[in-house]
Amino acid sequence: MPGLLDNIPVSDAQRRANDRHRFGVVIATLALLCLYLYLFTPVADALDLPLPQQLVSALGIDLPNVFGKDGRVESNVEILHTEHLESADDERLVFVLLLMAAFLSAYYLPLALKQASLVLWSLLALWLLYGPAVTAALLMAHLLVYAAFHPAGRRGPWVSALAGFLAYWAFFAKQGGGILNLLWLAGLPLLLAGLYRYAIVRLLDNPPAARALRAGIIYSALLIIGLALLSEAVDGPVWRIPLGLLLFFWQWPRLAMYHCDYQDGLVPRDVTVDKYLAVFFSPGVIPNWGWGVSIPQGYAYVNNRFLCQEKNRIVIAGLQLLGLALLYLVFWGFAYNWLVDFFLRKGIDVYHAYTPEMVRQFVRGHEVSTASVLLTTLLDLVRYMMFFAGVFHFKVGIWRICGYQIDPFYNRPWLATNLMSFWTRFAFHYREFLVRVFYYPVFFRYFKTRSNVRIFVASMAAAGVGNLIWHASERTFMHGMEAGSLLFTLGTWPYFLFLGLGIAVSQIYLLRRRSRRKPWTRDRWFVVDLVAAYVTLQYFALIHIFARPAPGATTEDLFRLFFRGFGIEAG
Amino acid sequence: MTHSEIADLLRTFLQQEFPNQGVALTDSTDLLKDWFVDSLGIIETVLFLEKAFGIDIARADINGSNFRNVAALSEFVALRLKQTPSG
Repeated sequence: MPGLLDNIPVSDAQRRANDRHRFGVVIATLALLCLYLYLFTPVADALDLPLPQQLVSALGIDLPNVFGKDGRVESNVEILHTEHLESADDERLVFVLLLMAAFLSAYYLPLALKQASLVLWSLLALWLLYGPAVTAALLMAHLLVYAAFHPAGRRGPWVSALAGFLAYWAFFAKQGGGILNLLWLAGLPLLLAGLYRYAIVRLLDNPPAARALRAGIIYSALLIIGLALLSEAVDGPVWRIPLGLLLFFWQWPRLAMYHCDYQDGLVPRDVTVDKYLAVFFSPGVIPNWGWGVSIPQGYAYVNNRFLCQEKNRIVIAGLQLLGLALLYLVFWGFAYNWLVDFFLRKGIDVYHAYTPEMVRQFVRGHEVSTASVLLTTLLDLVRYMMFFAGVFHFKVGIWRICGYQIDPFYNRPWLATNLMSFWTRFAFHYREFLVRVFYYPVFFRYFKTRSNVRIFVASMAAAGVGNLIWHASERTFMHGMEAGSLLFTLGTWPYFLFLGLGIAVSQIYLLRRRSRRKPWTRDRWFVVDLVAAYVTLQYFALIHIFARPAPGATTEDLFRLFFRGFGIEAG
Repeated sequence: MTHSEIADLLRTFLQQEFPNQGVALTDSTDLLKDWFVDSLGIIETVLFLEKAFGIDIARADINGSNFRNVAALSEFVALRLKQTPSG
C-alpha cells in the first residue's frame, strides 16, 4: 500500500547506511541522460554527429511520425511558459545538463548537503530557463510561506528580509538605477522584516489567526483566481500575474499537501529552510511545470522517501522509469498514427483519435456511429495515456535518480478492473492529493453512521468538486485569469459528475461485495476481468466527450453523442 | 478490552476481509507492504474500527505508524478506547 501511509520517518543513520556509491550506476545514469540529450536536444548538431533521423534511416528503419523537421525526435517534455531561450530543444538541453550536475551532487555529496544541492541546482535551472526575476519571485513566495509556518527563533525576520530583497529583484530591479530604485532595494527587506517582527509574529501567536493566515497563504492561488474574476465581473482590468508568482500558485496542490502534513503534525516545527525548499525545488518539478499535479506530495512523503532504501536501488528504479519514458516519448506518435490508420483501413472513422474533432463533425451534422464514438474516445484515451506515461515516467524517474523513492504516477492503468482502481493507476499522486485534501475532510466529519452516504459524498467531494476546482485553476494558469477560463471548466461539469458517480459507485460496490478474489487470477473469472477492464477504460474514455468539448457544441449535443456511445438515439 | 482481545478481533477482520494466502498474519506482519492492496482497504478498516470499537478516527490517525501491523493498530485502538468516555 504505497503513498498515503508511507510517512514513516527515516533516520539520518539509516540514510547514511543507504548512501553507498557504485560507479557503474553513475555511468549508466549519465549514459541514459546523454541519450536524452542526443534524441531531444541540438547536441548532435553541435558535435557534428549524425542526427537521430539520419541514424535511423541509415539502419534502414522507417519510423514515420517520430522526428521533427530538424531531424531530432519530437518531444512532449517541455519547459512551459518560457520565452527565454531560442527553442524548446535548447531548453531541454539546459535542463538535462543541469540534471546531470544535480544527479552527481545528490549522489556524491555528504548526506547533509544532498537535498540542499538539489534545491540550488533547481534554482539555477529556473534562473537559466525563466530568468532571474521569475526565479526571485518564486523563491520569495516560498520564503514567506516558510516564515509563516516556521516562525521559531530569530530566523523569521531574516527570512522575511531575504524575501524582501528577492521581491526587489523580481519586481523593481529591471527599472534601472535612481534614488527611488535604491529606496526600494533598501526599503523592501526592512519593510518585510519589520512587518514580520511586529505584526505577523503576533498574529502567529494567536492560534485561530495563525490558522487563517496559513490557510490563506496555502490557498492564495484560489483566492487570487476568485479576486481576478471578481475584478473582471465589475468591469475591472483582466489580471496579469507575474510568471514567478504564477509558478508559485501552480504549486498549490503541493502546498495543500504540505498544509495537511503540518496540521497532522508530520512537519517538524523547526524544520530548516533547505528541508522546506527541498519539497518544492527539485529537478523533477521543472519539466512540464503546468502538470503540477504530477507529484503533489507534501513534506512527509517527499522527505521520508529520500534515501529510504539503498541509494543504487532507487537510482536503478529511476533508470527503469526513464527508459520506459523514452519508449513512450519516442514512439507515441508512431503508435498513435498506426492505430488511427488501422481503423481507417477497416472503414471506421476515428476522427484522428481526437474527441473534439468527432464532436465538431457531429455538431455539423456528420453521422457518427456508435462504433465511431466508442473507438474514437478509446483511442483518444490511448493517445493521452501514452502522452501521460512518457512525461510522468520521465518526471518520477528524475526524482528517483536524485535519491527519492517516489511511487510511479502512472502504473499500467489498463489493468484496472474498476474505476477506482483505474484512477489510482492512471494518476496516483493526483488522486492522493484529492483524497487528503477533499475526501478525508468529508469522510472523517460527515455521515459517520451511514457508510454508503459517507463514501458517496466523500467521493463526490474529491472526484467531482476537488477535481473540478483543480482543473479550473489549471485552465486559468494555462489560458489566463479570465472568466472565460472558469466558464469553460464549469461547462465541463458532466465529466466531473460522471467521474465522481463512477468512483463512488465502484467504491460502494467493492465494499459490499463478498468475493475477495484478486483481479487477474488465472481462473474461470479471468474473462470477467478482461470485460471489466474494457468497460472501465471505455467509461473513462466516453465521459471525456464532456471534458474537452469542441467550440459551438452545446451540453445537449454532448449528451446526445454520449448516449450514442451506448447505442441510444436521444433527441 | 485487553490488547490481545483487540488484536484477535483485528486479525479475524483482516483475514476475513483481505484473505492473503501467501503471507501468515502475525502481530508483526507488515500490513502496508503485505496486506492492504489499495486505499479502499484502509477505508474499510476505518469503518470496521469505528463500528467494532466505537472509536472516533481522524485524518491524522491514518498514518504508517498506526497501520503498520496488528500490534501497532491494536495499540492505537487501545489508546483511543482509553480516551473515549464510556457509556
